[in-house]
Amino acid sequence: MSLYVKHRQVVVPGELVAKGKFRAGQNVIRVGEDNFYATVIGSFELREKSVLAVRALRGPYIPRRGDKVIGQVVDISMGSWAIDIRSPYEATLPASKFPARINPVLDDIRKYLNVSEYVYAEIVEFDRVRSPTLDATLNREYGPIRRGLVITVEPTRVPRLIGKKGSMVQLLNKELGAKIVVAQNGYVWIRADDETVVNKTVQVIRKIESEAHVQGLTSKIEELLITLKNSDKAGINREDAGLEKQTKQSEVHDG
Amino acid sequence: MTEKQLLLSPEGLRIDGRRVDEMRKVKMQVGLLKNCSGSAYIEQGKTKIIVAVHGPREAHPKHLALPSRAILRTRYHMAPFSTSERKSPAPSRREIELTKVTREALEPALLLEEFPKTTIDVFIEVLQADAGTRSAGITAAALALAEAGVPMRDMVAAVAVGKLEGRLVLDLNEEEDEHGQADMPVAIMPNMNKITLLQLNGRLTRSELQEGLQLARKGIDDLYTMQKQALRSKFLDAESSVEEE
Repeated sequence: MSLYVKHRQVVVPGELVAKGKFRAGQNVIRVGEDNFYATVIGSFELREKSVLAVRALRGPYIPRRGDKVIGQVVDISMGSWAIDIRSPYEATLPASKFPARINPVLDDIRKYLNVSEYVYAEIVEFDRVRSPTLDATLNREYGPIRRGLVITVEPTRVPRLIGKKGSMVQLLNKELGAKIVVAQNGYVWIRADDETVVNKTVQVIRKIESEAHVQGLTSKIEELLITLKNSDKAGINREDAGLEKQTKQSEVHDG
Repeated sequence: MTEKQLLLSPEGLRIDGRRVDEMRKVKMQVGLLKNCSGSAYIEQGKTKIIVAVHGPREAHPKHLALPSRAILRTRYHMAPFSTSERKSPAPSRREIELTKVTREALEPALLLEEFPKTTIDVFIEVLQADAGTRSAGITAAALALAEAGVPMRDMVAAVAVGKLEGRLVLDLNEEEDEHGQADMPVAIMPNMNKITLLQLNGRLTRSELQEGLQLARKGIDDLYTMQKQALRSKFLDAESSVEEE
């Protein structure tokens, strides 16, 4: 039983992480009797004292049942929508799982959700034979996205943006006064009454994304939020504060 | 014949001053392109190659997709300006062959079963050719695949072994390739200790082949170390990126 890498050390594919009586977890394979190798670039973790796992730093979004995702409608057929969820696999949302009663025979489902629109839903089915199927009826918050802003973040950064048990999202929601929904597939939906609040939120999210590796990020962001808040109270013009320097967003929805 | 320059001096030095078991200077870089899942750049002496990886993504045309695993598509291509005479940009017989052997050199290293019905596309573009392009292309492609996050059993690295004036040498350059007695490109998965590409142009005896493989292995071990370094330097800042769930 010997480990060759430390907890949270960056490993590369083909790297020998351990020898001995372990179990291969995520992104680790066993070769021969007791050699364990990493299969992706990522940070190594020892779970439950004997499970070897590597948390991938890069890679596509792989759907899992129960994931809350935001997707974009790319095609419409008789009784369903085809949804792009930023994954190698295209998802389907059946008309029967839309949060409004639709009769696909009489009604044109296009009226409810058209191509290029966004929808928030849950993955209810996905395996080797079936492509991902969505359901937008399971929760009141699911459904078409008609207002606010949808931005994209690197899917591997999503856990950081959510924080421990959702601490980061809660902090942002509370301090910024915006409603933020972080979808598992790397879409972030921001709603606020004031456009400057939206811009500020985007700024903070970009900061989190680019500094995801910094330790104790939550407290650092907390400080940033307080300074932003104080600058507002002091009545500083937001344009002067340099907040207009936003990166161009991919999609804006108003209405 | 008297005018012919020796490719290997009696002191055991090659025309560019290298020893027989010495590789050309190698430079590797990872993640330099934006519009793809992973990318890598390699310089091996005067050979310069850039590689881009797309995917795993939905396979188009759809009928190519396999229900059990991802398909791997490669393209080895030499830029028209990569050689001293303009090379027609259309894929030549040689490029089609190298596309195939490259795919077969990479395929055993990839865990393609993890992404059924998808495709992974690897584009190898030779910017400047000075021998050893197929091997350098494979080395860089493995890097780009790793950066794309494609799960791999192992990395792959490749190098050529040649024969000059009756002696085995590592990593031929253009002149040595052209006038030498043999050229043997080898690709190996270093940890699995498996050969994924072995070609031979010219003649080698059995013992020379054995010895040549050992020489290639030595070069590949060095290349593998550099691959790890290139990947690490790209991702080092991520060391503690996932401290929170």
